Amino acid sequence: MLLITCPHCGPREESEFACGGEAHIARPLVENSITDAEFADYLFLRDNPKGMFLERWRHTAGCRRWFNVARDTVSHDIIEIYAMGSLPRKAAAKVAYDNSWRRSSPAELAAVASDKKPAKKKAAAKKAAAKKTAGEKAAAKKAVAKKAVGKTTTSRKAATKSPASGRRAK
Amino acid sequence: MASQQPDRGLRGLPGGKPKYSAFAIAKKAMNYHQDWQRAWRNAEPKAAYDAVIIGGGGHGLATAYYLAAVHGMNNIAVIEKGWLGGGNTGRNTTIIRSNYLWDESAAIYEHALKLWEGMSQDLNFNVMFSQRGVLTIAHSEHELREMSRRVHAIRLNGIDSDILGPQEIKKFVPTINIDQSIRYPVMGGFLQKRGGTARHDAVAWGYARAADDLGVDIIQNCEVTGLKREKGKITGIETTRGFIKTRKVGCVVAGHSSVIAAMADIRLPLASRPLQALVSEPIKPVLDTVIMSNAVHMYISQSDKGEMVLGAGVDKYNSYAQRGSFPVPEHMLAAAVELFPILSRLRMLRHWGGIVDTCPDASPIISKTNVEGLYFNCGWGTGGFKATPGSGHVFADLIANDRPNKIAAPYALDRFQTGLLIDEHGAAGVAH
Repeated sequence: MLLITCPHCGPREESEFACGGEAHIARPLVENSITDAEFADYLFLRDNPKGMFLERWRHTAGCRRWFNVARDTVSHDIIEIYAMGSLPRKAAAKVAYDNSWRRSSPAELAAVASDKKPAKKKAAAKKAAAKKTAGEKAAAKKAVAKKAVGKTTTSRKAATKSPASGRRAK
Repeated sequence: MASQQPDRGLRGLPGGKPKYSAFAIAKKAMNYHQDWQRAWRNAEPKAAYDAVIIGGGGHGLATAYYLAAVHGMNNIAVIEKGWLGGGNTGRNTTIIRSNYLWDESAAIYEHALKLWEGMSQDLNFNVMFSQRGVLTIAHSEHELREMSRRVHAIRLNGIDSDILGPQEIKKFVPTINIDQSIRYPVMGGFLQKRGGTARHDAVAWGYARAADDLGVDIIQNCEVTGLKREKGKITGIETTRGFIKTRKVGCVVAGHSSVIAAMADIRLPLASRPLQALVSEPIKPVLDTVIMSNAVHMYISQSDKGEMVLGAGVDKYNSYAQRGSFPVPEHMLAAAVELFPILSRLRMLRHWGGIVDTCPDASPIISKTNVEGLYFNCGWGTGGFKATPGSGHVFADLIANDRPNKIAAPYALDRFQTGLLIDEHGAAGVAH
């Protein structure tokens, strides 16, 4: 029996929760351009490690909110509980995140690639903004800066590879 | 389909091992049972084999036995991390049936049931296969309707199946409570009379002894640590007792399938979950059949020792720990006590969990892989025991001929890409 600390309600027993399986699976938004095999990776393949596992849980009989859990599948030790949309911080959980095959799966790479497209659009928007009047320019700069702040909380790997991929860290 | 009999190959210890019989027991009694032969040799791993089976449970041992008995492959080995039948083979509730909805499932489980019928003679080992019937109960009008659809589909496949009303059920199982006021009232059920139970340990030991008789090396306490590949072909396996050269590897390791698959960079659509069961203290015979209920996740039978054997549904999160969490059996026991009020004062004797490899469509994977010579038989999830002989039989055929036969073909790994799933979730329910 697990004692799970819900980030919103505190420690509760396992029977109040539902387990949602593997966390951090990006939906490939390019269904038409990836193969059936690559889509099967997203739809059916789930990581099944013996050891550290990052999974989603939901406090079904409480606040009904989702959150992420880093748990060992042999000892059942929960080493970290962290919010949806964020990444684990504990060393063992970080290793589990980075070493998962899913980080280099075609579906996820396709998701990263599709994330890059809006980045191009943003650059185009910047150029367009440069042509506009000074007042409009300042407003546009502010908007861009705001967006950039939003992006700092996204995935580590994504941050180095692509500037805009907040969606990956779900 | 129903008329086709499986090829049983060489039967009854043709290798020359002394046979078990009533006469042998009487004869050995003269000598105070001092000189019974070893059931199987304690083999040392050889440097090379024609094929190696990873996993010494029921399915793995059956595979090795049929490779030798049907396909004449004698230079093979079974590698087991612990002891024979120490995993899910020794941790299940021993229910055997073949009443599945889909044709593909009916084919493989009926293939297995036919091998069960006559297995004791094939192996010269009493596996205590008892066709005491398996009765699945419906608790609502809708479940009953769905059940009659299943029964008709099952009968079209030539498999025996009968619908029973509450009064008939009461007559068949006098201890059951058919009062319509309980939380899960008995509305009806369906019975497979050819279904039943078998002694799980005897299945592992019987296959091991018969395979050993045909020259198969059974190597226990030997863990596989790596799969050696060259140019996309298997060339051998690394174990804790040294390197073994082989060109064919059959992997039948249930809950650890994902771990072995990762050694060859293969990913399987499996989740390893604990499945729990328990037995009560032994009592006098009160239940001479198997009762299952999909709605309340419960199945119950009585062992020959008198213990009530109860199984629950699968736990909700992944684990490799061979133990489950308490709310699962608690939920199951609450329903069991309502259906069988006589259980309420029984004490629990033993409780255990096994790690089962559940598949997204609740059907197994019997498949070649993208590595030549590496085969997987996994994903049996919560219902592997009943399939033991059928699973071994078709998997041996796949390994020997390097192509799946008609029964195994739908269970290939590529069904998750083509979408040709064999979705037994509804048909099999939880008590699978």
